[in-house]
This record gives sequence, C-alpha cells and structure tokens, in this order.
Amino acid sequence: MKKLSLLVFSMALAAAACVKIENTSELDSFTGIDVEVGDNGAMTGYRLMILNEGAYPNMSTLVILDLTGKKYYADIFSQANPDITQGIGNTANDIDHAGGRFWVLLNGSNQIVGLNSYTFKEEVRLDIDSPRSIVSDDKYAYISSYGAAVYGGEAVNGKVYRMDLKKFTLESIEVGYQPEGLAILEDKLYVANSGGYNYVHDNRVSVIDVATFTLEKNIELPVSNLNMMRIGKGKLWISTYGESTWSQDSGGNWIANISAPMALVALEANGTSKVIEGVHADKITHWGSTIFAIGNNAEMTGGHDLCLYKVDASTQKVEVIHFAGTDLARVAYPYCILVNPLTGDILIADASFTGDSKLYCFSTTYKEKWSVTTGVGTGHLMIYGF
Amino acid sequence: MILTAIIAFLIQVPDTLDASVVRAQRRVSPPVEKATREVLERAANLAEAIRDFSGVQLRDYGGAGGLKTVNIRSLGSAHTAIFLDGVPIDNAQNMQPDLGRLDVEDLETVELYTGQKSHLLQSAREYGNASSLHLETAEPKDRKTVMRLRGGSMGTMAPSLSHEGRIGNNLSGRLRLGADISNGRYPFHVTGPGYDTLMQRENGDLKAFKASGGLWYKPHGGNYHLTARLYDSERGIPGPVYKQSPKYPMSLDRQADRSISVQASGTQELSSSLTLLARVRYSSDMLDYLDISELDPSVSAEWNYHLRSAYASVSMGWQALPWLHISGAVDAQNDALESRVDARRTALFTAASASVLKDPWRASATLQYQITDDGYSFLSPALLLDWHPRRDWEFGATVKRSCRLPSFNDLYYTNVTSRSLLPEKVWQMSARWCWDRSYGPWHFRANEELYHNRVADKLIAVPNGSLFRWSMYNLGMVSIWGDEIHAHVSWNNALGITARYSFQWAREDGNTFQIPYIPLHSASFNLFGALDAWRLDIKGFLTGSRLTAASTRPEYRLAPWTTWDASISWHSSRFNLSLDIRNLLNQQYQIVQGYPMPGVNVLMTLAIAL
Repeated sequence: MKKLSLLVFSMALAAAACVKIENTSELDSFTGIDVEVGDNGAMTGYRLMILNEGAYPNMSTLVILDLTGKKYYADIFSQANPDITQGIGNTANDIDHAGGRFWVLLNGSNQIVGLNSYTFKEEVRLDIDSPRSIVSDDKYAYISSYGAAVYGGEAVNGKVYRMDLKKFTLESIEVGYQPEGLAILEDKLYVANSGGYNYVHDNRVSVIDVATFTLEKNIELPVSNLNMMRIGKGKLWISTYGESTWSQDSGGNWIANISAPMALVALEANGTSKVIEGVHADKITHWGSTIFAIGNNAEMTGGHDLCLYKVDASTQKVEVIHFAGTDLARVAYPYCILVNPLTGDILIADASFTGDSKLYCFSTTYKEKWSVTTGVGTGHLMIYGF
Repeated sequence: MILTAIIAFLIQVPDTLDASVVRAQRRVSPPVEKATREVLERAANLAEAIRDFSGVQLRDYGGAGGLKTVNIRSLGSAHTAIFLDGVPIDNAQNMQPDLGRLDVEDLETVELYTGQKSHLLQSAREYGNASSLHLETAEPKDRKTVMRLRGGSMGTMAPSLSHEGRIGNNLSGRLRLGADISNGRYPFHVTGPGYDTLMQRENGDLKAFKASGGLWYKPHGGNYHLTARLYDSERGIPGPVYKQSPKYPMSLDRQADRSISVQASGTQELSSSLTLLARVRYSSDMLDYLDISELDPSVSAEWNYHLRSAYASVSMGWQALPWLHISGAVDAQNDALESRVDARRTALFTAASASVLKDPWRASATLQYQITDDGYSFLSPALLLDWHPRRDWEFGATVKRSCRLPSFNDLYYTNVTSRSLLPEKVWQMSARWCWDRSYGPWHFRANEELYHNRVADKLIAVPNGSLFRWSMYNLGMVSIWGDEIHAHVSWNNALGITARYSFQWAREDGNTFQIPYIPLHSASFNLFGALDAWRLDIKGFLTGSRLTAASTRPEYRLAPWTTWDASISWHSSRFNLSLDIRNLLNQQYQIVQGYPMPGVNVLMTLAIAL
C-alpha cells in the first residue's frame, strides 16, 4: 500500500482537486481492448473516464480509457460489480470525484452511486429524484434535481440536494424549474434553471448560501432555458439551450421558430450579467482563463454551421473556429467537450443515440490526434490522476 | 376465361362469387404469405396470426396491452401498409396501427404482399407500398349466433358475441361485440453477468371494448360492403424495465383510446369488360396519454391527440383483350391531427397498371404517383413477372421503388427545428420460385424468395443537445440482402408440418454490423395433427441475436430466443373448445430492449353456437 494523490479534472470541476487516497489502482483485473491512440506520454499517471448515457432504456456505461497503456475498459461498473442487479443504472447525467469516491448521477434510476476510486466497487447508493448535475467541495456534494416534474405538466420547482460526503445524509432545498448546471464561487452555490419542461422557460440563476444551505436570491438573466455553468476569471459562465416556439402561419401551417439562439452569458457575483455577442453554444468547458464553447452558428436560419468558440474570460474576446474546413468537421453531433488540462488537447464526443459514439482528440491547432469508438450517448468526460 | 385454371389454382375462388368479384380479386402472382380461417380462428389478434410469416419481425412490447407492430424485410414498420377490405387503415401520426388491437375473429384471410400486391383491380393507395397486409372480412352466410369466452393467465378475459345471417336475397349482415380485459401482471427475470432477479411486470392492465357491424349487398354484377367499427380502451403503459430506485414504481402512465371508423366499398361490373371499384372511409382516433410522475403521482401531463382521416378511391378496370388488363385509379386522403400542435396533410394518389396474362407468362407494370399539400411528391413504379412453365412450378421476379413519407410524429413531435424532411425511399428487387404438388393424399410445397432492398434517406431521430430537443434527420443508406425459404408437407389435411427460414443481411453503408433489431437468422415451425374432432398445433419460433443499437459491444446485444406454443382443440357442431399454452418452456426473452415478454401462459377458449 502506498500513498497516492488523485487528481481530477472534469467538466464539472472548476479546478483540479487534490485528494489523497491509500491503495493502488488495479486495472489489471479488468478486461480491456487495445485501441490506437498514438503516443500520449504526457498522460502517464492519468486516465480518461468516459460516461455513456445510453439510449433509454439501455443501461449507462462507465468506461476507462488508459491512454498510455492504450487500453479501453468498457463497462467498468459491470466488470467490477457483476452481481449488482441491472448494473449501474439508467441515463447517467453527470460524474464527479468527491470525498474519495467517484459519483455517478443516474437520472432515469433516480439514484446516485458512489464508487471506490480504485476498484470501482459500488460503495454507496442513494435515492435522489431525477438528478442532473453535481459539484462538490471538501464536505459536501451538491446535486441539481428536476424533482417530480414531467415534460409538459404543471410547473414544479426543482431541487438542489446537499450530500454529506462522510455520512451520506441528504438535505434538499427548492430552486427554479428543471435546474441544470451548478458552480461554487465565493461561498455561494449558483444554480442555472432551465424550465425546459415548461412552456415558458426559466431565466433565473438561484443563489444558495453554502454555509447555511439556504436560498438567498434568484438572479434573472436576459436569456432563458439555462444549461451549463462554469467559472472563469471570477465570473460565472452560463450557456443556454436556446428557445423555440411554434406558430401558425396565415395558411394554418405550423412553423417552428427558433425565437432565441443558444447563448453564452457572463454573470458577475454582484448580479450583473452580459450576453457574449456572437456565441451560440450550449456545451461549455474551460481551460485556464479560456472558455471553450460548442454550438451551431447558423441555428437561427435553420442551417448547420458547427463552431468552437474560444472566449477569453478576462477580455471577453471571442475566437470562432468553424468546424468546416478543419478536422473538427469529423464531428457530426458534438455532445460534450473537455480540454485536457495536461496537454491543451480538445476532446469532443460525437454522440449517437442509436449506436456507438466516437470520442475525438484534437490538438490545439484542431488536427485530429486520435479517436476511439465509445458507447451509446457519450455525454461526460473526466481526466483523473492516480 | 383464359386464366380460370390458374386463378382457381392460386386463390381457390369459391364458385359462389360473381364474375365481377372474381375480376376484382384476380391477380398476377400469389401473396408471399397467407393466413386462412383455420389459423385466424385460433389467434388472439392480428399480430399473433402473422408472426410466423416469412420475413416478418414482430415487434412486441409484451402483454395484452403492449404495442405490436411488424417490420417486414428489415424496412421498418412504417413501410408496411395495412388494408381492411381494401381500405387503408394506417395512421398518419405513427404510420402502422397497433396490430394487437385488430381482431381476426371475423376475418376470412390475411395476406402479406412484399413488393407489389398483384390484384388486377385495386385502389391507387394499394400501389406504392414496400409491403402490405390485406385483411379480408368473412362474408356472413347462414344465420348464426356465436358466443365466445376466452380467458387465462394475466387475468385475461375476452368474451365476444356475434350474430350474422341473411336479411334478404342479396343482403347479409353481421354484428359483433367483444371485450379484452387483462391485468397484465406477469413475472420475469432480469439477468446479468452475476445476477438473476425475479421481478413482476406492473401497470400493464388493459380494458378494451370492441363493436363492429357490417352489411353485404350483392346485386347482379356487383358487390357492396359497409362496415363500422368501434374500439374503446383504457390501459396502463408499463414502460421499459430498467434500474429504478426501489422507492418508486417503474411507470404510472395511462393511455385511453377511442377509435371509430366507417367504411364502404363497392365493385360493379359495368359491361363485360369494364369493372368499377369505389371505396370510402372515415375514421376518428382519439388518444389521451397521461404522463404521471412516478416520483409524485399528483404531478402529471396530459397529451391529447385527435386524428381524423377521410379517404375516397375510384378505380376502373378494363379487360382490353382476353390477355390484357388495364386499370387506373385515383384516391384522395385527408388526415388532420389536433393536439398541442396541429398537423394536416391532404394527399392525392393516382395509379395506372397494365397486366398481360398469356400462358405461361403473367406480367404487370404499375405506376403510382402521389402528391401532398405539405410539399411531397413521389413516383413509384413496379414491375412483376411470373412464369408458370408447368402446373407445379412457378418462377417470378419483382422490381419496385416506393417511399414512406415522414409521419406527423416525425414532422411535428420529434422535430423542433424547422427542417424539411425527405421521404424515406426504397428500391426492392426480388426473384422467387415455387413448387407446389399433390400426390394422392400428400401435398408438398416449397418456395424461396431472394431479395435485395436499398433504403435511402432513412429517417432517424437525433437529440439536438438536450432532453427537450430531438430532431429528425434523413440519414444513411441501408442495404438489405435476404433469403426466405418455406417448406410444407401435409397428409390428407390431417397431419402437416411447415418450416420457414429467413436470412436477412441488413447493413448501413460503411458499417460492418447489422442494423438494430434485425436478426441475421430467424425461423419458425408449425406442426398440426387432426383426428376426428381433435386438433393439435405446435408452433416454434427461433430468432437469432440482435443489436439494440448500432454497436457491436456486448452491452447492446439482445440474446437469441426460442419459444414453443401448443394448442389443443376439440369441436362439435355447436361447441369449440381450445387450450393454448404459450411459451411452453417458460423462456425469458425480450423482443424490444427493456420489454420482457411473458413466460409460460395459458389461454382457454370456449365458443358456443347459440
């Protein structure tokens, strides 16, 4: 037994967390398949964790990609826990590492599962209604939840759960409609509410005081249907799903109108917000002081111009990289993005919900370095060190 | 006429039929598969009656209330049109109706045509389908009242009462009432690498009421038929089985349906060479779906759909020469769906066909053109050729192009972005042989059909970033190569065995694996024996492993399955008693991922002629 430090970089975490864990990582006991991923010396001591949501009702799967050993460990949960009925669960919506465990949110199963960091054995399983996103600090994990809301039904407030990372007790408070992304900034927990199940979407960011776990206020943004949340340069960066409405023309035909495009908003702790011009993205991540966002630049006109936006979190200067004309064009449906903090490489999953997805690794100059075939609905990525 | 012998051989036309009827029913080549009254009497619904047909993959969500549709030759269920007495009964919202709701008790035959239905005189809608199922209602003969009681496992109770008879010289009628009740509860196993857990299927209950009435009028040279049907049901939607927190049920959703339809058709001989065929239908389908949160039953969303369809068709057949038949048809159809988003479509279909029937050759060329007011138009040609060198041998070939338009669901309910969808297009090519011969009491039949289908612009739903925004896209090309083999031996109609085998190689271009849910190999066996008043039927189904997603990983693979059903029946002049045991060996299997099928289950039927 030797002491190792475990580093985690994920879509959900603002900065690398450093956790000490006793034990050694044992991937040797699992079956992996060989993959062609080129040379990844910088990744020695690190692994990529891939979460496949699965298409309803297919089970979600958790995958470990060992880039230096060049092995792909499919469905690591079933390998580590062959006797757990129905496996990990359904529609995995987020992943985090906190309190010495990996935590996977299972939206369809209304559960959260805690896995041993090294053996991937299931150690904790708790009931949480329709969980969506997770962030954590040293003592607690915070999980956004849709509650009992159903699509097209009456408006029901969502919740944020607080889970004690040692005692596994749960408390919850009500926030806005269908809360999505979460972020902790200066002792406040911020929650992006989408209202995606309602006809009128939500434009509020709920602010929760971390010390007392009480709802302090709601901040209204100039855009609605809020999605992901990241922190960069002391600001909150929030993406939206965009808005669409149906209307009838003079001939009685129904026409779909995208009434507002996907957007990126910068929110200051004091409540002032600013929509970043020219960025139409719903998926965001960050690296250093740069916000990376992916979206469709031609959404308003019904076109399909996928773009990577790089936003300088200090100057708010935007660089637009059109997928077309670069190797990025190999991605048809970007469903998640992560920038490798060790190399600056851009990882983008080209998700399929009817078949295998594909994970691409692009260099800082947008050249494809490698790609691997993953499972159905690849939606979440995390890099961890051991 | 010149072809009487061939036609009589093919369809065994009862000698009571009028010439016009014979003319309307004449065809160039026989159907690929046919279920007769003997089979239909024993089936609980249409899905059960046709599931052993070659090339048919039944998609069954399990239980009495579980949706049942068929996918023929890997093309997807939307490519199979369903006709009741020649009138299309498909549904503009989701294309194929639920075959589990269609009774077969009052049907005479069910025929499956892949490629072109080959009758000489048909409506324009009957052209242009990649495959079609034709349901023909039995004509009432003598006065009789039959009460049927059916019941068994899963709390199934299915009583029915029918009365039929002649009203005058040319007029006859039938009235039928029936119900289907089931609690839909059954045990099933979920198994994985190191577990085998017994669970119970819940919220699959069904209460359905059915009523139908028909009138047949047959003046000289004509044949008219009027039918009205009602189907009213309320059911639980059990949803797929997946890992759920033990705190909550799997599903609490409910669905209520009320369908009413009235249809009329008439064939009239205008002269010795001209026959007119006209058909009309009106239907109203109401569907109320209640999405109840399994986390808190007081939270729900209600989705109402009301689909109204009107259809009219006129066709004319002209026997231009003793060996040449020409026909033309015009159909119009209007579908209007009222829901949170309304949808409408008016479509006009025109078709022309020329058939040459000159021994030993039969050939037919057809052309259908459809145009809709929501911007679609499509030309569907088909060529059929049959060669009948000897009485016991027949060879044939078909080439056809067809399409299926995006359904209202594709256009309005999955698609939020404004996107114009193209029709899904299919090229079908097939070649077949058939050998059919009797030696004294022995009857032998063997046939094989090799086919190739090419699907372009396949319609696929893709999530557009979130749970709330799915979009439909025209994606991908699919190539399908298939072979169907069918062999039958029987002795004196007292003992018989039928075996069917189907090979389907179906791949999306660029993929090295099968498209989801299509087994490479599937087969079925039927064995029957009859002695005096007794009859025994044994049916076996074998389906190879299937992918549930376009992936070769084992977690997306459904296991192969085999089931055996047995049925024993006894009849007298007034009574008919039967015992059906399905899934004799209690196999645990899934046809659709997440929808476990019932294990061994029993059904008893008693029919009494009052």
